[in-house]
Amino acid sequence: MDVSKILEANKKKLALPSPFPDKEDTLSYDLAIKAASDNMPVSIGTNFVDSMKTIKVLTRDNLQLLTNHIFDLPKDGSVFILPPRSEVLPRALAPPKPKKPTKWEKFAQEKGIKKRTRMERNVLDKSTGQFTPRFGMKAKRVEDDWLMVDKMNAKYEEGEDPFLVAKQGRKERVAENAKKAKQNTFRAERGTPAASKRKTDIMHSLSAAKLGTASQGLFDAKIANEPAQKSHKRRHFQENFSKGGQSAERDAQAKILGKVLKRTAKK
Amino acid sequence: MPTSGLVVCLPIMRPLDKEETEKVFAKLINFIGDNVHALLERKDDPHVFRLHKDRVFYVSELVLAHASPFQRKDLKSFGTCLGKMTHSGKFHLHITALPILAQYAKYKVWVNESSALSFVYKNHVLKSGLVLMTENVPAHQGVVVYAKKESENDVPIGFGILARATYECQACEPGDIVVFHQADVGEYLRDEENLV
Repeated sequence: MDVSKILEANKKKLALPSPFPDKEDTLSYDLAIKAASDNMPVSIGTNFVDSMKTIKVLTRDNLQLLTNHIFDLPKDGSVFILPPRSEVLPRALAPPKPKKPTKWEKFAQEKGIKKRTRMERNVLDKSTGQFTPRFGMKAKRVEDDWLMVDKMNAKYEEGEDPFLVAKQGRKERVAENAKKAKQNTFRAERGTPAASKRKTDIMHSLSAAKLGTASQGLFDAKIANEPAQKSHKRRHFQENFSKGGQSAERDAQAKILGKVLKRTAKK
Repeated sequence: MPTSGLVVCLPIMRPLDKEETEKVFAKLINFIGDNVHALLERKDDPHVFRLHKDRVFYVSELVLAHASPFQRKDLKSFGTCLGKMTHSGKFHLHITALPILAQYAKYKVWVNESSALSFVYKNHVLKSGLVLMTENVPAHQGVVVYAKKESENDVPIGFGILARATYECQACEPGDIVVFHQADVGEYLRDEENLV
């Protein structure tokens, strides 16, 4: 069978578009994710069918360009090696705000005090000839070694145990430091919703605690700047008999009745 | 009444406060509408509402004066008990309020004798037992239930809530509920200890 005639007849139909599109390559590529983006403006006109055709042709050409770029990449056997990503997606969330400096950090910056480096942190222990941390874990504590009595900064009076004084001093300093750390977090929180929530939480628990006593807080010691507690009065009802008879009571009830009738009529 | 100083005796009945009044009126309005005004304005024998041991009483001022000297534990009932304030603060009408509801009722339902017998045993009214009802009553309206008797006058036997509007009742099946039971005169025998 001779198909040449049929092919000739359908030549126009069967003709494939060119693998090298007739347009300037202005696309930007990110071949790592096999993506190309065309930032050039497109004029599509008002006719819907025509505009769809324009976009279709444009898309095909761009896709052809992208494919050409991919096929230009170096090959490993039958696999193309994709380059690393060139375009980075913007992050979903805003970057975290810088932490507020603690009181010490502020002071240190003013005075130009710099943090010790890792090596400066260690000191030579002459007895062993090794470097040990100046303080903290694995540090050599002065008060652990009776030979170091004269090196202790703790002030002790005669008759006192210098080691005990030093130990207590350490304890106090640790407690004070913890307190300061807490204050630092509060200071950093100031003005944020978390701070105001903590304040209202404290007020709530304070008023709850006040109600816990037998006098409902009446005879409790007052705290500085304490908010006024709600007075818990006994419910007071009207008397069974009023001086001018019960007509006033009925008048008040008639008013209430009018209100309720209005409400039910609305429904 | 002691108005100042130490109150030694147990508190007796008291007037309703605003919220309680609203709740009681709302319930009454569902049955007798604006006829509640008539309860307030009884010029011949002025009446008031009083709360006593969580029960709401509608009482003549004359009776109130006679009942007020008694301590709470000694006073069982006075006037007409309309219903009770529940523990959760709602107001429930009791069957003892039936004379008042029946007197001023806006919406009525008449049932045949067999259905009346069933109703006084705490059952709902079915379409099959329905003889007559007020026209153009919306659904969920409070209605007073009457027993239809040929020889005697109609007797109110309780009250309930209309399950469906009048026009819906005409179309529904014989087995369908027309009135949800709320209270019936059988409670005077069955539920005597809880009534007042």
